[in-house]
Amino acid sequence: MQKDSYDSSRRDFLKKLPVAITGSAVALSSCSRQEIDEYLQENFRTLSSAEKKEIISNLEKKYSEKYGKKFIVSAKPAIDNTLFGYALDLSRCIGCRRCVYACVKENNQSRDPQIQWIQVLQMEKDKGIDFMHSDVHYDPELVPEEGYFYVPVSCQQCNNPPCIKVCPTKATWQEEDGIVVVDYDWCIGCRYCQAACPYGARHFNFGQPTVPAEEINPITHYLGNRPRIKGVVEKCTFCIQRVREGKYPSCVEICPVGARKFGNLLDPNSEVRYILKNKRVLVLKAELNTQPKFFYYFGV
Amino acid sequence: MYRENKMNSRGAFLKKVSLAVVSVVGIGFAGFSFQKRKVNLGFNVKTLSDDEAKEMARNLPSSESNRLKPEPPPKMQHPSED
Amino acid sequence: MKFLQFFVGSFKIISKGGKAYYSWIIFLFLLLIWGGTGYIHQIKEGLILTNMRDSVSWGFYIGNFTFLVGVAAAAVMLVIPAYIYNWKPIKEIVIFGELLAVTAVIMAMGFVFVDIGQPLKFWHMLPFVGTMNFPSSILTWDVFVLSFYFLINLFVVTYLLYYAFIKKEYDKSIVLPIVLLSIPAAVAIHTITAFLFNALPARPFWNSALLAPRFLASAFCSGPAILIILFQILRKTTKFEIKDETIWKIAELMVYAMAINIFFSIAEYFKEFYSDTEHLVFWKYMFFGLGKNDELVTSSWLSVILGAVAFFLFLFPTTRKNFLTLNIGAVFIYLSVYIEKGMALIIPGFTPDVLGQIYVYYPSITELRTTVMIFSAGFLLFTFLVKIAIAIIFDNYYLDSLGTKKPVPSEVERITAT
Repeated sequence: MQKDSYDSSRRDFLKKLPVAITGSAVALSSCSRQEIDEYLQENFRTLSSAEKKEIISNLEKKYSEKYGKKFIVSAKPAIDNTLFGYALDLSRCIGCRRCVYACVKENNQSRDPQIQWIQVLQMEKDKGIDFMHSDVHYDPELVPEEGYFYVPVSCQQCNNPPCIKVCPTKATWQEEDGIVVVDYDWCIGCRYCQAACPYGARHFNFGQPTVPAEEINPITHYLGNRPRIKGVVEKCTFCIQRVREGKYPSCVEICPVGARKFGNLLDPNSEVRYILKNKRVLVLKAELNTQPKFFYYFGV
Repeated sequence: MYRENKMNSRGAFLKKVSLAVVSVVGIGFAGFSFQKRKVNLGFNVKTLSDDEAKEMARNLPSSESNRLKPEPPPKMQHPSED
Repeated sequence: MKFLQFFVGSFKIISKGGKAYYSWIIFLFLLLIWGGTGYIHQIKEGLILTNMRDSVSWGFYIGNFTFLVGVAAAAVMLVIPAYIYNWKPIKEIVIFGELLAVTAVIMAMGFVFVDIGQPLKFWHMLPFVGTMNFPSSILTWDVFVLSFYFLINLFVVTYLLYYAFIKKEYDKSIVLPIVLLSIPAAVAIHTITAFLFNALPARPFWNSALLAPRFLASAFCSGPAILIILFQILRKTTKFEIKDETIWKIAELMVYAMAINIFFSIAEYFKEFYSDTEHLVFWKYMFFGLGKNDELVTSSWLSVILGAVAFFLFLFPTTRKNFLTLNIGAVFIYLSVYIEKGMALIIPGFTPDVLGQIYVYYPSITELRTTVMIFSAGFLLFTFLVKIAIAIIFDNYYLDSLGTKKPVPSEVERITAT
């Protein structure tokens, strides 16, 4: 008796289910077909290559229309036998912030609200590397200032990245060449990775990101510098769109004092390997066992 | 009406709790042990201790010759005005 | 069909009431609309309307989430002493505790929902349809335990009320194991929520083994405080019976919880302040301010003082057994834990940030409005649930009341109508 009434009410519910589904379908159909597809798009890593191709051609079309430039969205995978590493000479860095703005331009970071993947910290020579006494807002007439040295910090591309460990959706991962990337369409914007990152390397699009059309860089990578959406996290990718094509990251190229070195850690003849062999290096917050692939050293 | 069940339920309760704890811990342990552990770089890196780094920072020469005008600092993160 | 009638009946119960009931509902609706329009604004413009930024990337929303998980956990944990001491209205304590738990879990999840940047994509973190990062991400664990906890509590209250509604004896062998299961589940939700913060070595402020025990102890203070006040209101306005002794017993248990909470806090303060390592900076910001940045100092001390006063009010039998001082104490401890979880837990974790920079965070108007939206929705839901429960348990509202016969007017209606 009791069971019957349960069953019948369940049947009732099941009868209504199609109605509910049609109802929400009608509600959804007010969006365009492409919007629905975008909403239902899967994690980049589970997509087939045909799906990737289609998504990318749609994106290229969309971006080209929006910015009035021909866009390229690459999905080039990691090159075999590559593990990218970075070295930065603290004795050369003068804190001029050229790298910050080259990075912003190359990687299409939002101008307003402002997002900058590189933060340059001014530190007192007497205190050594001490974050609690550092300053990102220094603004003298000329740098370097007497008594100070400068520590640029961006993503340290950890070998053991805490951000990936905590992401609830697997929207961020480490590629074969060691670059930690984000799938902007899969990120739900919970910002757990921001709380987990010991280097402040992850940045959140709190508002709609804006880049003027005349300043946009149309040569992009799907996991790198393609235009972002509101409400997702982004980060330095070692300029994935450049380094996988054999170029240097733009911060390396712009640096006026040659403080930045980049290369393949698996290639014994690379410049980073030379530095690691001949210089004593330090990694930031080594005690956290994040194992960064970003090394700091004193060249002189 | 709950009283009759009291003795039984305590036993059942304890059994359930221990089962729950064992399975939760088990899942967690198994899950973490299956996670990929990243290998080290495969070569040794000579590291610099904090004190040595401090010493080297202190001894950095001051380069008065080639000073540059820095690019503007990041805008202060302003709280929203609403 | 009977189950459908149960819904119809419940709907009828909540749609009828006296003047006081209606004004309360309208008041909550107005708050809901005021808060909701703020939230709609946030959906359009993004989280830029909050005061959260990269430096302080979590704020008031996550604080409220944490607090409400504690409320949800503690409400059900009252079931333990109810069993041990065999308090008379066990079923009622179970039902109202679980109703509070259900509401608090919904509100907690609401706070996560308003906090994320792409709320419609939440399905990405579900198993099977999305790519859930289980077991690596503690957030996925939290999703699991919170939904499990929500479902079992919802099941138990619905089941008990439904059987009362159709005037049938409920099956103890079904209810009892689930009620007992909900106790470790309650411990689990708050422990895992603490682990959420604990899991981040980048934030030394939270990276303390005492965090989860402190969460449980403080929740055991704030959750029963709500129930103590609720039971007194119900006792005055309905046929709900609860002896003074039972309330005092709950208060006595809260004293233990408060004592443990204070002890844990002192242990934590001692370790941090005596060691005086570089990690002390967060505690300094919280209690004394760093230079001219002393935004959190007042509220941190307020929380400590309110907690201490409440402890002494509850400790001495004369003030514990006086309902005026008891209620003052209950409100104080509630506020103390609310401030602690809402602000003093989250903000110092981010101030100074990982690179040593200070960003001064305080909730924006949008954050306050969204919070008001969730709280008024929660109060509304809780009012409805309690009204249904009261009508069915105490006012003999059942299946036949639905028919042609005029339903027995509920106690609340009679009181509020006059």
